[in-house]
Amino acid sequence: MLNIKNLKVAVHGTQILNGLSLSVPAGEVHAIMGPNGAGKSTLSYALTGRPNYDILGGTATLNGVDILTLEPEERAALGLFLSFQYPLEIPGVPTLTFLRTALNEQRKTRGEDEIPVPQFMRMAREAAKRLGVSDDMLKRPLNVGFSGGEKKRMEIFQMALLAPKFMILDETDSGLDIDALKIVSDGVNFMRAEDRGMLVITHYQRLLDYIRPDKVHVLVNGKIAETGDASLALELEKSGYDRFEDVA
Amino acid sequence: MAQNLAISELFAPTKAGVAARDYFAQNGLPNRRNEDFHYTDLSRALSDVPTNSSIFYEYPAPTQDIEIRILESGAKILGSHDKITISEFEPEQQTDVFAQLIYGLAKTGHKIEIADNTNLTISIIRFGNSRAVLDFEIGKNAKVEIIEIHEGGGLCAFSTRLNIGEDATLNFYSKLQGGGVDLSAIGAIQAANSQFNAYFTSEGGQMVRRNFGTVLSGENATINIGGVYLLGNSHFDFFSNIIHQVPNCNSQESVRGVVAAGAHAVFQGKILVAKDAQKTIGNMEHRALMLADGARINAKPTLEIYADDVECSHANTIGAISESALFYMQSRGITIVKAKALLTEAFLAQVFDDVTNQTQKELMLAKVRAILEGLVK
Repeated sequence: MLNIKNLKVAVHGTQILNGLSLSVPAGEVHAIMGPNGAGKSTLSYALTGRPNYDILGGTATLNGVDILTLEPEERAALGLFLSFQYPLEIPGVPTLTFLRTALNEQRKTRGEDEIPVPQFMRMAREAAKRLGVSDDMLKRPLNVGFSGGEKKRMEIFQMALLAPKFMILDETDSGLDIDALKIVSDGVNFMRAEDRGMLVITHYQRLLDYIRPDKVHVLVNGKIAETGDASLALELEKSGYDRFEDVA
Repeated sequence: MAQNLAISELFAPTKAGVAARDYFAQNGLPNRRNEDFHYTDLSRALSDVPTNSSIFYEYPAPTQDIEIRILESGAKILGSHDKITISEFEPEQQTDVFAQLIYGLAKTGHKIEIADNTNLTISIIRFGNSRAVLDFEIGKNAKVEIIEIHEGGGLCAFSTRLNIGEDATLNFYSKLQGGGVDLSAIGAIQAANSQFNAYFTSEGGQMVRRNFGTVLSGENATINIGGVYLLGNSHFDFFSNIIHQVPNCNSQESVRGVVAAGAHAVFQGKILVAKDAQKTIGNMEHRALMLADGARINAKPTLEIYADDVECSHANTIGAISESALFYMQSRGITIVKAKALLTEAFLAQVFDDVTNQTQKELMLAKVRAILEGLVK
């Protein structure tokens, strides 16, 4: 599914990722944990193609396709989705218009027909109900005036409608209270499937109580310092990242 | 020193034309040294007589009660209405330099009187090289819609005066798309409780200048201006002057624009609040997006306030589309061109949020969308 080999990335001239390698097979959920500044968000932006994230070396493929040379929208059409740590507000563009445009643009890139409006509305209503997204939120311009929790729920709602193949969740738990965390996690778990993969980036073990990872990677100084099963997250919660800092 | 002006032979054989020919021969056309024309140098734009470009006639919605076609020969009024009285007048000399130019060029003058309590729609279509002046007297409690479409190129000159009666409502929609050199002025005087809503879209042209002025002369009068300009390789100057003469009036002005390479946009706006005009509310904003390098915007918002109990503001921003927002949209699969178009359209469309005539609103938004398709790359 997602294969990253020896990835080196610089942001505005400063190298952040120093030869990161990682492999997430289809059907698995991997968590990435690590201290502040380790390169967690850089990884998510480099994979989705944010401008000014310069690839200095290495490769990243999704289902065998080299994604690093593609435009961000082409990566999205291949099925890559990033749930943003800080979702953007898009003034003047109603949420449903935004999503219908996104879905149809992706389909166009893949050579598929547009989704008819009634079918899209049915899909939207079903997902909205499941994720506690109100009609009012759907009518408002995307994320404008939403609370932090509402924005995160909206990310998961977008994910549900766009039905990506590979999802990166960048600190989706930050800013969520327990109830919202439950809704968001249920939304994420709903998406788990044999042909889907997921990278969950988080600071806290708490999220992993709800979204059980198959593997946990520790990212320190732009590299994977250790990989283990779900119990590694619990251990990190107790011991912190100090021992990895020393190694690196 | 008398000057030989390329356009001197274009002045009409009217009192205003003779006066204008003499005046401009003596003084030259307004240029950069005149503060009001600092960014729109008419002397340069009119150093040659602009040739007529092709005319595309888009027939407006066939709902108007009368249609005024402005042609090379002047205004022609089609249709009649029992609540409208039409008379002709000879354009006379003006004191304001811009009005003097337009009146001097105008071939005809028409006065259109609309009776009290009348509901009607008038369309004004301006063709290539059309030059005329129109005076409207809008009766008390009348509800009038005026739809203006500028279609033609060449050198167009157009002025309209609007005397808006007590309790009357005037909605004025302008689609300025004719290119060439287009000099136009809208000047209103508003009586008590009158509402004047003026909206426009403009694509600019070789040199397009619109003056817009209103005098709020009766209490509780409101003026609402909403304009959008979308400029490719063109020039557009919107010059507005709102005068609060009496207390308790409300003025709102919002102009937004986008400029691509080669464009020059000018926004000059002034709110003047007279000493007695207490409890005035006056807000003015101009916001623009630069779509590419090689575009120019000059903005000069001004407040001149002599009363001490008023609520007035002006805002002016010039920026580019947010790169983070663009990336966010791309990451959802929207191509960069589509993302830019969506963000730009959303930015501009807000100006028309309060338009009550849904048909006109849709027409203006459709126009914005269509022009953006050519501008956003």
